[in-house]
Amino acid sequence: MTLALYVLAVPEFAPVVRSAEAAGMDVRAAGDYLELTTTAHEVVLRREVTGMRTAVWHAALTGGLVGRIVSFTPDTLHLVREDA
Amino acid sequence: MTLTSPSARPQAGPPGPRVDGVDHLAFVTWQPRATCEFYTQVLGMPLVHAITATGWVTEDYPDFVHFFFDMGKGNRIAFFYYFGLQEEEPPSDLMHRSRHVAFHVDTEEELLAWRDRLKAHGVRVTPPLPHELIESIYFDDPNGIQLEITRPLRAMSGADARDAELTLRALADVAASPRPSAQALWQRKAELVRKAEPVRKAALIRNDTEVAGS
Repeated sequence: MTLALYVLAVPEFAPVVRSAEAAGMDVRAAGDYLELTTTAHEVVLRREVTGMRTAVWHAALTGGLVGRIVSFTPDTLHLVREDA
Repeated sequence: MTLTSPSARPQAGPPGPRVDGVDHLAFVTWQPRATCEFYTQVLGMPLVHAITATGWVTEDYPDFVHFFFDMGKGNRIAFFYYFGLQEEEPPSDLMHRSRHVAFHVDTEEELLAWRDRLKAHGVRVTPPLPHELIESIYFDDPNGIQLEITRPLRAMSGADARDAELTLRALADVAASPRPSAQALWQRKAELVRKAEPVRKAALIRNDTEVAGS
């Protein structure tokens, strides 16, 4: 099963997409959202890559998650596949 | 640049009666003098109405004064002062932060001017804090009610409303489950986004066809 995030395609969440790309995730448009996927078992997104403010960073999963959260700190978001 | 208020409502809505904004919000105060001075002098909201009455509603309803300040655009903020009512304990920090009133301004200049004005009156106020769609300053009124002044960082769009619809559908599902959590919400949201996408694409194609055929 693919690990996937959905991010609403609005300016404040663009840094999440940059962080996901930096972590090796693929990006494709999906209606109102950008679908970020990876076939890897896990992925770690880093806030420092994004320059995002904490309030928006902690809302990064608002669009939806196919996977599980290992940890979600002010600096990193560690996700794994649901079957991991 | 002035942006459309983030509170601007979508053009289309369900049929039937609709309300038009806030007539008044009502709170309880044990400090009528400080409350009146704060709202009129610090926030510049004129006192526009006050009613005094005996507590006729139920047998134990105390006598009261109910007074109103004009927030602008026909919206008012009101307070009850109840005679003989023992003062309540302050709410928890979480409830204090959660139950708040946010006033709207259009621009960053206005937001900063308000911060300067509040500080000049000795009110403790936060620096401007950007969220997703808005940037806000926070402070308390004399009753400990958290107030916010906020400006839009961008206008709300149809995508925001469609996204909110899916979030609330996911929340309704997850809140009714045995173990509600943010993770469960985000997982359910992804399922709904995936389901909604083919439907939305079909609708867009249909609309395009109708336009092309008209």
